[in-house]
Amino acid sequence: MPDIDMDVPSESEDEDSDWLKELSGDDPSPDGELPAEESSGQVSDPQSSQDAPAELPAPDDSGVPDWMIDGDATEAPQAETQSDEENDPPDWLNSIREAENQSQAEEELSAAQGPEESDGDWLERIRDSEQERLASEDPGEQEDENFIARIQSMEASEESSDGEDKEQPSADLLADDETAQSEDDEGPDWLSGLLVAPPTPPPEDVPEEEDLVWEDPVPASDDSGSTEEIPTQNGDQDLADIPIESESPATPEEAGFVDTGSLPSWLADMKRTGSLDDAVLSSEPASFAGEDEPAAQADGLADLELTPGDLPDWITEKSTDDEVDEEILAEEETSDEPPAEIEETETKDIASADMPKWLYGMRPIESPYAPVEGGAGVEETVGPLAGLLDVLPAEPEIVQFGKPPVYSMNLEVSNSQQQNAELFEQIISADSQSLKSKTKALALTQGALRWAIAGLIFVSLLVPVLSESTSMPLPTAIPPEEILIFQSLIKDLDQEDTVLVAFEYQPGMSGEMHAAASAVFDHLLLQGAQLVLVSTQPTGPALADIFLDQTQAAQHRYVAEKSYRDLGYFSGGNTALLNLALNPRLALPMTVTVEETDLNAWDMPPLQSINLISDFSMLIVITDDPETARNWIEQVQPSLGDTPLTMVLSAQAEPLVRPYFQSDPKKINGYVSGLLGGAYYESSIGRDHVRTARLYWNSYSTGLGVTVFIIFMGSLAETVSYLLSRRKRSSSKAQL
Amino acid sequence: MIFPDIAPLELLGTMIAFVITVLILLYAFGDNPAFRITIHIFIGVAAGYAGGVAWHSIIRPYLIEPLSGQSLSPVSPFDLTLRLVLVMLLLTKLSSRTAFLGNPVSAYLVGIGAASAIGGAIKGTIFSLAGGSGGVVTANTIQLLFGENISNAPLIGLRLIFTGIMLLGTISTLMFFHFSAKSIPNQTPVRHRLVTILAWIGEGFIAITFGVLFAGVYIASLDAIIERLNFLWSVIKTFFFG
Repeated sequence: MPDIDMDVPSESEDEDSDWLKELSGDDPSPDGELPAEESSGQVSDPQSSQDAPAELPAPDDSGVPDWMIDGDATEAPQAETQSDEENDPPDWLNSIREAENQSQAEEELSAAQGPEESDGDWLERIRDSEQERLASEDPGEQEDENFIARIQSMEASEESSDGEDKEQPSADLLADDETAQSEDDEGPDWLSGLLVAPPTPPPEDVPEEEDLVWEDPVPASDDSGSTEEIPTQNGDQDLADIPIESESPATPEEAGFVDTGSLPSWLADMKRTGSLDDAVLSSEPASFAGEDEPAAQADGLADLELTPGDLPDWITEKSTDDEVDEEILAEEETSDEPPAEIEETETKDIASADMPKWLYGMRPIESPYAPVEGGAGVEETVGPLAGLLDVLPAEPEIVQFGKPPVYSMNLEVSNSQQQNAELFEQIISADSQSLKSKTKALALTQGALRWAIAGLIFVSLLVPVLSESTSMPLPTAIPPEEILIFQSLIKDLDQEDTVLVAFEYQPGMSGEMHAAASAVFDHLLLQGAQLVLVSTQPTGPALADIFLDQTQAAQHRYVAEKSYRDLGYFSGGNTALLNLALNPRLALPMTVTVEETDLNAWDMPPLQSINLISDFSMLIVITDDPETARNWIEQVQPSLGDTPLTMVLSAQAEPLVRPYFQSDPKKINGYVSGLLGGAYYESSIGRDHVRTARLYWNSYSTGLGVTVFIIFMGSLAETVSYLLSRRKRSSSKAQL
Repeated sequence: MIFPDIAPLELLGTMIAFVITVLILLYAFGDNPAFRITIHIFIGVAAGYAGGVAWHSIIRPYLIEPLSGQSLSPVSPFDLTLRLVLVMLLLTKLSSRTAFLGNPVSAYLVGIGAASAIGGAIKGTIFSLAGGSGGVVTANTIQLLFGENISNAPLIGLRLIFTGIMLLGTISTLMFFHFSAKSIPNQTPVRHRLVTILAWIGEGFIAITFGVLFAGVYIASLDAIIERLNFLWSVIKTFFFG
């Protein structure tokens, strides 16, 4: 749409448009020249094909009427008017005039802006002048002129009115209004004729809509009410006597006006004078199709209806040209060239101003509200503005007449991104996938190998046991140092020496310990030493009993008579050993029943001379646990003094206890370790009845031999396999 | 089946031992209910026996008899009261609500045990073994290895060599557990080259030590199974072969 200057004319009386001057004093041209400032595309002169408009009364010297000058939106800018060349105004013109007066009054009341006094004054002046003119002049010609002007003014007033549910007039009408406002400070000539128009009645006097007739005052259907007195006289006739045809007029195009819902004052006057048919006013304009016309306004215009035959031809031609102009305006949005059609229209109908080309180029190119190309503009189809062209559409964010669009949530992935994603997924999945392991084959191989090894070992052990073979000789070499020392220490004992023996091994290791300690105890008992048994384990005393009973009872009556002293179990771990080392009597209280008399064991042999731990002749610890051995060494040995500490150890404890023997000074004076030590000891003392180690020696030898063989073969196989695999790897690397 | 002339209770014990031994050896074919039953019986018997020993060997002579005046060892009232109080406080550990009352007693036991252990370790192990590392290889050992007629010079030399080997083994084994390294920007921390070499040597000594320990455990186990096989055979021979 072209940029339309909507400047509201100032209230200065000097700013009356030129056309108003022309209308007031000069005969208008037959074509109805319009002022040069008119913008292009304006409403074609409705009188372009008509005769020269009748002379309008001179405008009031007070200048432009207030309703033209007032800058409020409710103030309808006066439309450009031209003199009507018709000589005999029909009745419908009178009715229109009256209706116009009424609508103007209503506009003023609805806006409630502007100086009402001035509005009322000019209306009165208009009515007065109208009456005078009608009385003195040819009413027909003047009415024609007034009718044209009032139609235009009515259209213009509708454009700028606020508070009313009206459509905006087309741009051409607005442009015409602007142009008209900027010209002629004297005011339109037709206005002078309206000064004599009767005033409009107050709103409270307005009758009901149903009772509205042309002779009655204009009903105040809308909120605006005219405080002016509605004219009741139209010349010599009372307006009430003037019949108004109730026939519905022709189409608005034929009727030649756009009903805005309120009659202009001149229409009201015309109505009162009976020159305006209701049929004309009651016709619904085409441009306002779909609009919810106020019922009151429609009813108000019912009395002013015009028949199609009553409207002059120039009115219909004008409306046609208006449509053409609107279409031309729509086309101008996409081109900077002034539409030639409009120019032709201008030159044909009215003397339009030459709009400079730069003005055409000022219109927005990328206007979101640009009308559709090739059409007469975008017609609003929904909402209250339906039917209007080139309407600024409501913001979609505020008004949504349709279902909002549904945005897809799908992720848009390009081909390259998809390929990269697939590649990344392959990389990750490759790491998470576990390689197929040959567990089944390996399990079978290992299971068979396990059974084979176990069977071989069992056979090597069981055969000597079953055969009770003693083919394997006991070791005859010089015993190890620890065994020699142990033997020498025992040799130094005599029958009065008390030896403290601690049974600190587990029941499960009793077989080995029996084999290792049997020869030692045999030697010890041969020397005549007194045995005192202790244990820091609950099973110690029981194990001691079993050991002595199974290995020594047969050979030594001392054991069979249980002449040894068993002090039993004492708890406390390291603390108990330390207590024993510091005060054995207190640490190991003992009572014995002798002939039904409980006696203190420490007061009886062999403990009667024992007060300290160092009073024992020897301390022998029989254990399979290196920790236990270490505890005895750490807690008790420092308190022994010259008393030797010896041990009978299991083969598994010997590697960890040997450093105590090899230290200087020695913590352990001697020890016998495992079946081998026992065999050495048995071999060294040469006692045949001690055969524990002898009994296990064959099985021990064969089993150990088979074990060494299996270990050797396994190591050999692993070495060969490693060499072969390394050769394969090297060959594969060479091939690569 | 021939029943030997032994006491019935001893015979019953022997038979039970035979059966239990066989059930335990069935574990060679995998876990089975018989093995599980035997294990449960063993645990129960061990716990019961330990409880009985604890009563007869500890509680009665140290607490009950002094309280009843039957103890032959003189116990002062203060000592006896202290024993009683400590025992009662220790029994409060049975309930979570009163467990806090036994905390002082537990602390006393732990503290004394730690003190005795630390003192014994320092005095009886660290100092003695560290001083004795150099004298591990004795003259007798060398004579045993190379004969008694070895002269003093080679003897001293060999002792030095073997002592040096022992010292190298000790130091290298300790260096194997030294993991301090110098941090280098943008590089993996690496130990000093000398430390790395000694650690590698110590790794060899550690491997040899583990091998020796494994051998000792294997031999002990071998002796145990030999003894059990002999027992089984002796029982079978007694009951079936006379």
